[in-house]
Amino acid sequence: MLSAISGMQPRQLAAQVLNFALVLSTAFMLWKGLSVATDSPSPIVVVLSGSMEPAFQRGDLLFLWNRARNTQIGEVVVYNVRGKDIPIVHRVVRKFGGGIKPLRLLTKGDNNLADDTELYARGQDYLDRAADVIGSVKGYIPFVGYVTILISEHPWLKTVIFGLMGAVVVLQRE
Amino acid sequence: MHSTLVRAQNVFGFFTTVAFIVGALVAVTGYFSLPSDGNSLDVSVDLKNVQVARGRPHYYSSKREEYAQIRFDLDADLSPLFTWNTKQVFLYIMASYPPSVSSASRDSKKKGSSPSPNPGPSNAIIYDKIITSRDEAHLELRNQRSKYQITDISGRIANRHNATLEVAWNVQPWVGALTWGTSSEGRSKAFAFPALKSTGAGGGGAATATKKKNVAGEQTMGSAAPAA
Amino acid sequence: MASGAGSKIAVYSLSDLKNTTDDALPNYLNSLKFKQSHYLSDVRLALGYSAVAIAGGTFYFDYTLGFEKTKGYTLWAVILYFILNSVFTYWIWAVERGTVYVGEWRGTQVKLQSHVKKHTPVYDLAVQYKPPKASSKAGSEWKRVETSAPFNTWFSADGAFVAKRFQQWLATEIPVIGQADPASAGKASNESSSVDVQLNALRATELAGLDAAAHGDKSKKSNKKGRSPR
Repeated sequence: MLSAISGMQPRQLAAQVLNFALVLSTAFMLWKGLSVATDSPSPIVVVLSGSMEPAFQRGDLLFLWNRARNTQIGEVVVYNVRGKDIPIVHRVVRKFGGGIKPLRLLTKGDNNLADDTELYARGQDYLDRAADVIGSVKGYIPFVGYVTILISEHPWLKTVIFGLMGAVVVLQRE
Repeated sequence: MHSTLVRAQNVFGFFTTVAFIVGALVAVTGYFSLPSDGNSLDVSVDLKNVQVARGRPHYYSSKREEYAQIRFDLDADLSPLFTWNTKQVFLYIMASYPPSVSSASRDSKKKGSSPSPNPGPSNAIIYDKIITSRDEAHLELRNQRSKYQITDISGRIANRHNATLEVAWNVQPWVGALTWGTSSEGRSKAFAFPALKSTGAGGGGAATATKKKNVAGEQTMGSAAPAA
Repeated sequence: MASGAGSKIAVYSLSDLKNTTDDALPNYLNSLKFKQSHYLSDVRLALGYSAVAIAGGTFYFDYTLGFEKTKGYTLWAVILYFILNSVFTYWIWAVERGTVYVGEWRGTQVKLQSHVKKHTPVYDLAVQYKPPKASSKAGSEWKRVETSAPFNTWFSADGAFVAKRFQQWLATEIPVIGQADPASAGKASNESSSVDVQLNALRATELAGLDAAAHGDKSKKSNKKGRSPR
């Protein structure tokens, strides 16, 4: 493998590396483009827990939309717990405010008995739509996100896949 | 095909393409099979009883707030919502009432083009049900007790007027877009949350102004909490 | 991949065959003292790497400053990136068009473009060359030569690239290369091994304009156009 690389001239090597870099860059920019279009920092999320079963299972892929700031009761929203970086996907069960007043929401997982008050930050009883919610679920694809769960639970997988991709794109000339 | 790896790649690529196309077809056809107008569904809800009592959000909380317990009748036929792409229907009944006009104007995030400056109605879900098949889509509940006891964000829900119960649903597909719906018939007549039930020692003697018949003393608010 | 002399490639992979051949072409020409011009590939690299730089910058700022603060810039970065990417793709498709070599030799400028039709093991080469201004002519124009040969002309059955055969083919087909490398051009017509008989036959049919190489048509035509200098 190394002999193949050393056999290439510098421009050729640069072109091969460019191919690989372009693949990564295009994927990243598509993600960012989607993020800006939906106005959500994370427009596609993977369901990690079973708290919304039977609607969402672990490994499902959810598509978010964050431009409708007037969230209604019954919608499923993704929010970050203040102070922590854990996104949670639950349904809105209470809604207060709106208009010029901040929209306050209470959420609960379909499969949970209690609402999310205990999950919120200390002293916080309701979510603030503008500050805490990063999107509302509009679409859904089952199963396909399971790969990311595998990767997050076995981090070495990420390095392996990345390395394989890199080797394949640099060395192949399709 | 000049190597096993390339063959495997091609098979996998073909598989994902086919799966993607089939998924897209299912999503699109399922979406257009749903009834376009929620009013075409047969739903109705009636309030049977409502009581307000003092309670705590959790057993360890020191806050004392007013909680409302509602009893209702429900008739619903949600079978038109079940297409080949319907995984489940989440049915929910909410109590909707106009918020109190408070003089203390809080930190208002004034957006340039907000639709209305007034806060919308306050909503709280009192009952929900997950329906997973067409057979279970006919519901007939009589004098059903609400799953959740609700309160206002201010903690005071007694004596609020112009409240209604509304039925709504959320159709969860196997693949594709989630849809929500409601029916104009699925709305109860306006009612008012009664005054706080006094917690006097005399069982049932206190003349609390409840609109409907008093169901035998249900003083379950205190520690049971909304964690039904 | 760039294969050294003697290393084998998969014979059934058209892309491998084309790439190995494409790689050998600049090596051969440069060894004949052709001076290669890297204009096309430099522009391509510049376009590509500036797009990558934009993506990298977006990543960095998003990582350090977060989504909300960088939203506006990200929108422009995404738009700019895809414009650059389109220009890049257009450059490769329309301007480069399969160019494998651009250079000059003793005043004559050359451009070589290679192409392989899908599922056909035939290497199509288009050569444009412009001789230097002769004193009598006002200017000189680009001349175009198109030629093809099946890959088995210079690949053995088990996938080894035979450089000599490739060079002979090039030298005989393309006038400028024949001038630069008369040895290869001359050799091809003098040898009479069975392989070269077939080679001559194939060349004959191609010169006559028939694309019968893939179908094994071996009719010898006697009127070769005397283009290549002997």
